[in-house]
Amino acid sequence: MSGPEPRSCLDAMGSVHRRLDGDPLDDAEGRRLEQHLAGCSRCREADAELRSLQTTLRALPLGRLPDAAVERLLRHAARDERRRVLRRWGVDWRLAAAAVVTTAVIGIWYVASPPAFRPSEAELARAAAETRAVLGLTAQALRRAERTATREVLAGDVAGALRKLPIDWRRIRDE
Amino acid sequence: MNERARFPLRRAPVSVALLLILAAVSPPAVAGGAEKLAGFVDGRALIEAVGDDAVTVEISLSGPLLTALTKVDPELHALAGGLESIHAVVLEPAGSLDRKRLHALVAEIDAKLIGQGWERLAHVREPDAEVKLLVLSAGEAIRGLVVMVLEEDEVVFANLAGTLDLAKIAAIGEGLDLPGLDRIDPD
Repeated sequence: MSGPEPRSCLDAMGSVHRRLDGDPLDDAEGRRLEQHLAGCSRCREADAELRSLQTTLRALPLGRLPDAAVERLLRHAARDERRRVLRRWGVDWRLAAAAVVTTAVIGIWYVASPPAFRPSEAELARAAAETRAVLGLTAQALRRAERTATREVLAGDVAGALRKLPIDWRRIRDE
Repeated sequence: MNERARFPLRRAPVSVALLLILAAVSPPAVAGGAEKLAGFVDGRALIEAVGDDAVTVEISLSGPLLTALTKVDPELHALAGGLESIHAVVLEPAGSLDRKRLHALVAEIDAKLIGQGWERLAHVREPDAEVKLLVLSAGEAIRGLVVMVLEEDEVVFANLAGTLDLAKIAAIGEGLDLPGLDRIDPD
């Protein structure tokens, strides 16, 4: 395939658009553009079409937008600009908003939550003694129940719950 | 394909943030909220019946303290690792009226628990004492245990809530030298 490099076409169209927008091209850029257009029929046609379009648009009568519409447009433009800034940094605005809210929530939770409970040695010692005491009482009650349960089992007067009793039947029989 | 269809999870971060907000503004869990446990039984009614003066021992352990305890004490962890609440009251009735009130209340608690699906594990009647043992089961597991001991000069109420292993608890009576409730300093 013959013709100019694609990159040159891209550069040339950039220059074409700047010139159409009224931005002055420096001498070197102007020369490069003319050289490219002379050798590239595709860009030359595009340039001609764009100039023609611009001329046609300029010939159209100017209308006046209602103030409310102008205001809406400006608001949209400002919002788009903000999004563009976020996009430039590779950030989705929804993700950014979620991150801000999440950080705020975690911050509030961290500040508002009570400090971690760390019992003192004395509290732990007392709790251990109390736990052992209640477990000891429960164990005693279970042993007491075992003895009586034997009699109740023999009398056939036992609920299904008795199966849960950790009874050593041989030991009880020997007693 | 439209943009929403291509990125179905695009709104997920916002939803997650909203969920976090809801979680943050919802009321915090009550520390040691033993009352919410299925196997928890409140023994304070016994105290209310005869007054604080009759209380010789009152033990109430749950939540972070119980968790911390089972973390630092391997022996208790083995025995009470699944327990979420330990509650006990020892009362000495001042006279026969108080004794009757307590005995009636114990019978009332016993009947109420049976009505709520608890099972009577044992009811021991001895010349000097009466012992009631009730358990709350959930499938094969035991979620709650209530021990009520009625003696002439003392009434004991104890409740263990959480996941219990009765065989282990029964074994400690023989395997370990545990102090009785009378060794606990009421202060």
